[in-house]
Amino acid sequence: MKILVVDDSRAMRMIVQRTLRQAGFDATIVEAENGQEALDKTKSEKPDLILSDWNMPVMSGIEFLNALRGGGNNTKFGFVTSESTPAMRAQAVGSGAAFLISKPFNADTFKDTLNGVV
Amino acid sequence: MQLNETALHEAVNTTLDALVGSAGEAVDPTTPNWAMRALIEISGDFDAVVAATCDEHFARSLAAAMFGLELDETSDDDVRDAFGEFTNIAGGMVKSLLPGTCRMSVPSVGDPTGVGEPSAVALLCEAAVEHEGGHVGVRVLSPT
Repeated sequence: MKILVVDDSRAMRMIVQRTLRQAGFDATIVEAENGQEALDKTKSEKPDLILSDWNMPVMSGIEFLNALRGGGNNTKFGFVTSESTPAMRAQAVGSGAAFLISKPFNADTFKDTLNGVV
Repeated sequence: MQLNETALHEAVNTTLDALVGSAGEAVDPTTPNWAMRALIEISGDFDAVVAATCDEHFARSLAAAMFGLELDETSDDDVRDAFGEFTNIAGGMVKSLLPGTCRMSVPSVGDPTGVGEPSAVALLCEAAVEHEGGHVGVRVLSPT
């Protein structure tokens, strides 16, 4: 399994990777630091799952998701974000996200959420 | 829950616990020599600024824990990145306590002289903790 982790914070990308391992997901990780870079890497790397922050410079997570779906790409997509209002969850699902994980999170959060998706 | 000092302390300690595995002890916010500041603007139905400041030891310890490094292995970029993410998560928790629909900026991070708190603001609440010898404080400000 290949997972694209998208976050403008390198520290958070490392924590997401560490948490994936702790949750038992043995995956090849590809990283991107904003939505535009992630859009390019989705085309070149063809990940099985995308875990993306919402609030990023250059291109936000929701802009990335909309561009992805608008281009006909249906790769499984979930947000990992510090903002998680009901309105954002609705917008995420409406744009084609499978889930939204709120920061802070732990390995159990990842297990519970991802086991139903991958 | 509403935004108040207790809720802000809880947000700071929940963030700390998630990132470094343990919470801190409440301290007087005026105590430390702040070495770094991160600002996040919240705008929408409620406008506010989340200003987080910390001393050098806290910043290095946070980065070391988040990157899995020794204290002396952390670069200045690591430290700014880690403290920005700490502020981002704490800011998200603050935002969830504010009324209405708001959006958050990405954090601006730097030394306190370069990243100053905005003027003409009122202090809504503040909280500071000591964590393993380092100090971090978070203030929530609102335009007057």
